[in-house]
Amino acid sequence: MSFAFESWEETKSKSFKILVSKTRKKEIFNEIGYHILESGKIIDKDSGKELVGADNKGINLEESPNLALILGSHNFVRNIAEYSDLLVKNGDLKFISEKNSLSKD
Amino acid sequence: MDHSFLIPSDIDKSIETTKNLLNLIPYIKKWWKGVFEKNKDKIIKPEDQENLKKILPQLGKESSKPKDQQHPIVREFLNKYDILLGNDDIYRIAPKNFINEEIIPILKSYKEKEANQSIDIVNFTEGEAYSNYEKEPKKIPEILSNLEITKFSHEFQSLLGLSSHVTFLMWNGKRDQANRIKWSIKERYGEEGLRFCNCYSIGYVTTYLKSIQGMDEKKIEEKLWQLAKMPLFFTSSLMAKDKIKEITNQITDSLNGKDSYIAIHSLGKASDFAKQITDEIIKLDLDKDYLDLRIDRKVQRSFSKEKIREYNYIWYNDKGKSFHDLFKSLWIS
Repeated sequence: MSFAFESWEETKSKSFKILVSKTRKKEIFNEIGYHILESGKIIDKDSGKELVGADNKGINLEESPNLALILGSHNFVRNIAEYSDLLVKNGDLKFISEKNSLSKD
Repeated sequence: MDHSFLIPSDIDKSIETTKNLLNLIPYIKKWWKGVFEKNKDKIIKPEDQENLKKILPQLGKESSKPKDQQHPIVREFLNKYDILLGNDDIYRIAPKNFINEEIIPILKSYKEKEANQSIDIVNFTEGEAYSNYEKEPKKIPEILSNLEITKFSHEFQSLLGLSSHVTFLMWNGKRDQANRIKWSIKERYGEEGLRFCNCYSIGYVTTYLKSIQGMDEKKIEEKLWQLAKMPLFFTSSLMAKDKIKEITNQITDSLNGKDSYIAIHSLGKASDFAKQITDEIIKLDLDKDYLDLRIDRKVQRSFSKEKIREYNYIWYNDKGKSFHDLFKSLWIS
């Protein structure tokens, strides 16, 4: 297996995740237009409004250690279950029959 | 050297792994330069990819400490580099200024317009979980795949996907990952959502579906939710002692309240807890009207790699016999 590294232009064309600590997450959120209050609430600097999740409840970084920012549409999800909801909403959650998957294996 | 952030048995190996990461720095610098020169170079060898994967949870734990309490090696690493995980499953280490200068402008532009390409920001320990969940198609039993799944509510489709993924992870020995997802199911869908996921993992959902074939998807969704309301109990290997006591009391209450079908189920290491609970209840000698069934065996699912211990204990009375008959194929083959 080779891990020859491509240029940034090639990397940029892929989807990827930035794996970060909580502190770094705050720094990046801040850089891209969100202000994190001491309480953990996230404020959109442009609109001044508090960010809410799909359930219309405020998102708190302190209370949601697994919070992720899914870019492409600036969606925040608190955990994998909410991420799953987002995938369904976008038509990106794919089901296959176990039988078919076994025959492929 | 302060090793306090690691449990003793992991110290030497993990520090060595971290050192390996730092040994990559010359290559990282080369790549950083190469980004602009379009230079191709090996950046992270396969063995280092594995090392990186192993140390991510520790990096996560250590990074949550105040900076002056972080291990010096980890602090140095976190001060200088960010880690990227591509959808090709390859980890890349990038200098901080690379993220600041190259990636942040892209992220900012996404705020203005939708983009096809996705750059997600996730924490260390969940990165792989998010990635795998997105990538891997959810394998479901044929009887379920024959239904028009898109006719289920969005929430139910999502819960089915999560339950399928958890089941696959559980039966393939990835219980830590499975438990983390189960935790998020509980946060999002509450106790009933978690109970549904457990019912799915044990096989109740598929078996029950056979009895309600021909109904429309809305009705099926309603019926399947009813499974999550039944006195079915599940143990986890992470359970605290008070939770064991709580389940013991709940089962005792169900038996005294004459629920018609009561069961406790477990997989792998959690089987010891389930056995402990049932042994306690048997000692109470509660009611002779219940028939009971203990199944302690090693089983293998069609999609799993190895046999896993499965411990089940079922109580049913006359009223619950039809229910038992429906599900007995799960225990008696």
